[in-house]
Amino acid sequence: MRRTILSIGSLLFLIGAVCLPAQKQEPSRVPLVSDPQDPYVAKEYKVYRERFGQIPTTVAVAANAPAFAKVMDDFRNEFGAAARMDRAILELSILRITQLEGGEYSYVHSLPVAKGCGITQTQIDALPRWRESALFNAKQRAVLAYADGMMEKAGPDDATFKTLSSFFQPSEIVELTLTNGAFAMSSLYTKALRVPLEKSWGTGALTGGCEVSVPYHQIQFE
Amino acid sequence: MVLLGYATVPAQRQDGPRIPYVSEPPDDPALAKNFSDIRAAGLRVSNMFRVTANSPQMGLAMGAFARSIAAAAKVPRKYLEMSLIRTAQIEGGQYVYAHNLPAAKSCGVSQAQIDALPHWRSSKMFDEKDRAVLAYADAMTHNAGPDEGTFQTLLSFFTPQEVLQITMANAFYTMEARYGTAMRIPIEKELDTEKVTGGC
Repeated sequence: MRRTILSIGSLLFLIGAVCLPAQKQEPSRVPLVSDPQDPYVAKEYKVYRERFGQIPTTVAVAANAPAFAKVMDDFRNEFGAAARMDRAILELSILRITQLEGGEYSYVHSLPVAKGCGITQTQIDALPRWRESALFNAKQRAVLAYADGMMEKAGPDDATFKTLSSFFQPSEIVELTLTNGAFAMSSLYTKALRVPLEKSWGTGALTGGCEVSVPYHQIQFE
Repeated sequence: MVLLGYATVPAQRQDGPRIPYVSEPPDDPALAKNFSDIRAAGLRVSNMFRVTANSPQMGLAMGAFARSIAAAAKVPRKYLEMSLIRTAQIEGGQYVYAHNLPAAKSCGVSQAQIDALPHWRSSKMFDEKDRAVLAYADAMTHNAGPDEGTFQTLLSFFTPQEVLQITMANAFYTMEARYGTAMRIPIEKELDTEKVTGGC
């Protein structure tokens, strides 16, 4: 029997979320499916309800297209577990990307994980003006400059890339770059569809960890 | 949606990517199989995949996602492909733009439309439905996202399910565009052939 495992952690907030009952600020632009007929999505809902008492809004949006919902589950499972680089560095980059993209949903969902990985509240507060801040070390600054550079149409310049390369191996640069891209993707997607934030998400018990490559929560959908 | 393999004669690159292509055959067994499967199908492993393969797990996850969202999409391909090349164009994703042009053409986007794409608003080459798709693609790249009018216009032409798919496809191409640009992935020289995508 085929098993799909969902590990809940930073990257998994790409699309899914851990949450308590939702209160929407703005209505979702596509319907939030409450009673899915598709067997796969129905099973997914059952698991979320049993485990968290709530369906993440991103999941309820994706349920409009069941085949698509499964594709997105598979992606967040596989992609989320794929990174091997230092998680705290990756989370810092994710926060910065989602901040720059205005991807509030993705940003808010990434916050507890970032904190779980040791990023402090003062660093989070300083993130919009990180260049003037003394709170980030040289490696963190290289990552933040790279994230900022990825927002430019021409991409990061050579100096920025060279500095990054002095801290990371090629495989880590691929991971970082793709992860930045993935969170640009999730930001654009959730913004365009106005996926509402759940009123409460990511309690410490659910997102307080930092190890994603060793899933600390696993859900089997089928 | 041709991100992994394509059918061409051997590539000649202008400059290398910013990080080296994975050494071949790849050490990772799953990745090595993936490479050989692509080649066994008569395709070539794309430069993008050869770079991404430096992180085997992520490369495979990306490849599976690219194939799956293409397979799951129910939106008529012409609109999807038009949306994707527009997104790549706005995002400055030269690599994904070049890779998607042949697919767009074989799915019914004309050369005249492609030429007019940068100034589509003032062009007569696009009908109302095309324009709804293009306006949405443009607006997705704005920091605030598409405004209500743009969204509702799109929704008047497509089902919510289709809108969802267009949105995710555009977002995915933004990811690919940013990635390709940051990594400076060279465009394969012989890309622009009818054989590239295997049709629509």
